[in-house]
Amino acid sequence: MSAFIESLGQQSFLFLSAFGLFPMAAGSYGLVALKKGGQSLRAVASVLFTVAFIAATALIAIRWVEAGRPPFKTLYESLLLFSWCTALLYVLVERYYRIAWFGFMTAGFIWLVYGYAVLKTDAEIVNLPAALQSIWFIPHVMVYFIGYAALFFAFIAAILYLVRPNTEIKLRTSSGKDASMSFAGFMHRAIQFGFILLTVGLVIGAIWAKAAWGDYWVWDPKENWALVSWLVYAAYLHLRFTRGFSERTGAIITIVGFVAVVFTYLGMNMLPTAEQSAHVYQ
Amino acid sequence: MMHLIVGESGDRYQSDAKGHQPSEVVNLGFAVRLDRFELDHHDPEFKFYTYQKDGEGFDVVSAEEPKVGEQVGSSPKNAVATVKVTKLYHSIARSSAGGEKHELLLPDGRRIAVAPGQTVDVGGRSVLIEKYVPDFVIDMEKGEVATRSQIPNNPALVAKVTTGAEAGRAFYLFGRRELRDNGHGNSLGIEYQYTAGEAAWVDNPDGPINPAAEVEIRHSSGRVDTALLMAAQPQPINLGGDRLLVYREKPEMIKNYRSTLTVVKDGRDVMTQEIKVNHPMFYEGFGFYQANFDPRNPNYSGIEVVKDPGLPIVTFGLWALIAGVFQTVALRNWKPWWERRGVSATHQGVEAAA
Repeated sequence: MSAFIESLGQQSFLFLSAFGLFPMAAGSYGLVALKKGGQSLRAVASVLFTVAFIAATALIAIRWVEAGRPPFKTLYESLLLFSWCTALLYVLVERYYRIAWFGFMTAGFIWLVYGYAVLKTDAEIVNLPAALQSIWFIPHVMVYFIGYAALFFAFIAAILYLVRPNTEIKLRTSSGKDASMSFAGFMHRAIQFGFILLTVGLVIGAIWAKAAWGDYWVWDPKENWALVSWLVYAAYLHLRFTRGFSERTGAIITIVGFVAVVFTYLGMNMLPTAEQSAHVYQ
Repeated sequence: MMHLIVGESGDRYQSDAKGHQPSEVVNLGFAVRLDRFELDHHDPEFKFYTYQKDGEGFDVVSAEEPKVGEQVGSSPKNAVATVKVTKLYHSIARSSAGGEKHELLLPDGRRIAVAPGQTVDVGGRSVLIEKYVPDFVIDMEKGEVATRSQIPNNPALVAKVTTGAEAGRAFYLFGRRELRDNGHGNSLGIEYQYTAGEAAWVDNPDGPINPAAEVEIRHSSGRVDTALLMAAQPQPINLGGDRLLVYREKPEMIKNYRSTLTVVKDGRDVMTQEIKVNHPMFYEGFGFYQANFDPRNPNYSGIEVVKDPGLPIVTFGLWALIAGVFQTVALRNWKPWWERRGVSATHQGVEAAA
């Protein structure tokens, strides 16, 4: 462990701050969710999460400057980016939905991602290959990771819906009117947002591939799996209009969809074709 | 794919096989000439890398830019050595003066300076220092000691006992600690200490980049060695605890490669454009993509040619897909102003429930 922290060099303080603060935020949110703490603990949780988010932001910014390129190349860099996008969306979500379980699950999830990242640190900053030097690099990656983060929220809402189908979430609206929705309603909104981003990411990828290699689609395993996860959410969006569809079915499809997303993101290393892919994070 | 050499033209290409479509030779109806081909490199970077043994392989634990007077390397808990940079070279070159120092530490505690050709008395035996090699290697063909280079990566002395019962016994003495304690010659209890001469190496600030670092290696035993590390010929220093320190260049990765292409039609130059990865050229429905280079032939450029007259239509279709998904998913309840009045919402069943 110390060797891994060591390899972060001067960034180890920021990394350890985020790595320590996210579980503290998760714990605080967890106590609030279990009704063991009141509004003040919720405020503490928010502050802890925000500070951790700032540390995570600084970590990426420093890496960006140090590498002289967007830090989206290696597995370590991408894990940091994915957790950052998830944290960013959570900060936005918390403005409108005050659900301590979301805070608990998000902060806990990010902590796990950091725990994985610490095993994959790369002290040697690799250069970008020619194919990745494109104006599409940043939008393609960012759109996908924000989309993945949105689908993470759909995933946790799906789990919460299956556990507590009757819970109504209170919304903080600008007009001050009371509004509420079920976890399935939140899940649906997150999928709407995430699905649009998956579509944009897919199209940007096709346009970029055309500019780089002359082909929109090269049947790379990552492309195929991106298509699979896109189709799962497309199926969800269509099945909603069929007879006999229940929110419970929707929640189950959403969980399957997120498993496909995680496999698309991290499962490519397991495939025998990983070596030839332009998409595998190492 | 089109394979071009600088100065040559091509008017046909071998298409890729796709699905049921076999590979075939396609005539362009014009020619493409490769005027120029260039490789862009990243700026070279030289760093001290600490490696940690991890199962079969090694992981990079840290990468440090050396600074004179500062320590380099991530020391493990039970470090056997620490390394400090004492001098940096931009472009190291060998000066005419040698100036290395060879010292022997004898079993009786004497420390003597020796030179090749000299005979030393070791515990009653006469030992001849036959020759010095800066970068020890055994030439397998000739079966004798040789040097890999003039750089003292692995300084060694070849010695021979000349008197007594052991007369004729040859052995080697190694100046670098990591390689010393491997049994060679140590039965006599001689330790060889090599010191790179001040005058042996010079820095040429205007020379081609060829960096080196002079370091002080402080062993846990209290001994201090100096070593000259050349990035061009990386030599590991053992830090202990399964860690090695290496001064080397960051692996080269080509930044980009560029071809200047000229379209020749009916014997006339019609257009000239530079292409590189991510920046293709289009002409009469054909796309020309920078695809390959050959590290052994600087004049070769591999160009992927794709016949794609439908490019604008497909691009439009892709953007239409985004617009369609956005409309269906996000703006389901949105209606243009001419439909808003008097039309009741349809298709809203589940949506409203959510």
